[in-house]
Amino acid sequence: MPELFQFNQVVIGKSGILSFNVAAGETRILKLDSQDIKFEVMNMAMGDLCPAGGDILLHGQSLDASRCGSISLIPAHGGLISNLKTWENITLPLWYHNKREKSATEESLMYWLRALDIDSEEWEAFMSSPVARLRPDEHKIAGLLRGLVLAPQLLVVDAALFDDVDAARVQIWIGVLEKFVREASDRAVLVVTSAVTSLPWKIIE
Amino acid sequence: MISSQTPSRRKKGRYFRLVVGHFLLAWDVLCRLPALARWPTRQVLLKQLYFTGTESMGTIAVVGFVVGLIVITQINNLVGRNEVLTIQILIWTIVRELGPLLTAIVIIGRSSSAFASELSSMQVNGEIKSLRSMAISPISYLVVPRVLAMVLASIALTFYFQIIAINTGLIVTAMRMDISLSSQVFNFFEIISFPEIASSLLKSVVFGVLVSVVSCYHGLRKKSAMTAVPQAVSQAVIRSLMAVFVGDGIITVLVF
Repeated sequence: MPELFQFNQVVIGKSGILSFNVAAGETRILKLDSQDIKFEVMNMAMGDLCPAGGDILLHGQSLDASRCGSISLIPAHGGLISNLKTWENITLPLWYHNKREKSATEESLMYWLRALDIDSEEWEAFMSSPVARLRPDEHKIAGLLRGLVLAPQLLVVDAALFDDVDAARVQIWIGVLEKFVREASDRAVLVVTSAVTSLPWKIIE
Repeated sequence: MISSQTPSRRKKGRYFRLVVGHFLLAWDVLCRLPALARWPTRQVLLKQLYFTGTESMGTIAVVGFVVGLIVITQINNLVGRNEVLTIQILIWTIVRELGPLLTAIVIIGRSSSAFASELSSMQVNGEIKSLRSMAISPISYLVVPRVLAMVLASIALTFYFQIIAINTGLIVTAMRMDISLSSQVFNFFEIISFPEIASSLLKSVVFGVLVSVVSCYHGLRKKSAMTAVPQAVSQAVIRSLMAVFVGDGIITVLVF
């Protein structure tokens, strides 16, 4: 399988070196030593932080502004903007970057809502609700939906997203992430954690 | 290691960085004005216009009416039935000075504190970082529409304030001094000149820019805890007031 995303001898923490590859079609867990390093690596993967040494490559090329839309992050608590409604939060990056027609966005959103097994009667209230009124698990669902609807090549997921979520729902989310990877030939998911995890994917240590 | 800089030098350096920071933010906003072509940014602009402009109209109407009443009472006591002088002083006080200044103070009370607290909370909750991770510039998406909305609201509200205050003044004069209202209105348009309208417009634009840039600057400054939010709000309000008074002094000295 072709390599989609690579960390080559990247300096992390005070003196650590990190190297790993994620190929297209894969879902991998990256286990790191501490929370700080986890956030550092996620920031580097998103291109927000430049490493002191080493290379981070997407399709064999350095990360730069052109990565916009190619890599997305799903933070532990959804990373929502508090003064927007759920619907606006989910579609904000797509509309801001003028990426897709409204109808195509709605279609994609319906598809993933069904995949996440959300009751159709709940949709409307959930989508029109201001973020402040959402429950913590709904924050997570909205963040997950935003990542899925964006359809990036690499989806970086903070493994803490699965914390404090009931087991049945965790299973649904695992299935959805696997479905996301299967749906296109150039997609991968990287789940980043600093704790022991029971998630079913192969661990990069 | 003990710093070799004296406290006063460090304070001067901090003050210099603060001033430069405001100018850089203003320049950044100017460079990013094309972001308004994006639909979500325009949506923020409309929300902010409603909040800063439309929702302030009631307060501005009350302040305009009361200020008109106070000013005209003092003028009537000072000049008696001298109609031309009454209108002249009314224009000097309301159009040249109090209109832009009091409107800016109302805007500072309502919107400056709101901008600073909203942006500070977003900063502390990691929402600014979240925007960056979506490749959305916080300046383009949050600051540009706020600055533009405040400038437009400042112009419109200043004009609205002046209409209410002057009408109050003319009506009260007509009632107290038994001078015809139509003759006062005619004299008002005879006396008011283009430089007076232009200076009022200039002041409202400058105050709008100053208040919005100062408020957004303090809102977006790096913070690590919620306890920093009230500090940012009070700094935004105090520095906005200072900026408006200094700006008013400079424009008045230069124009008149």
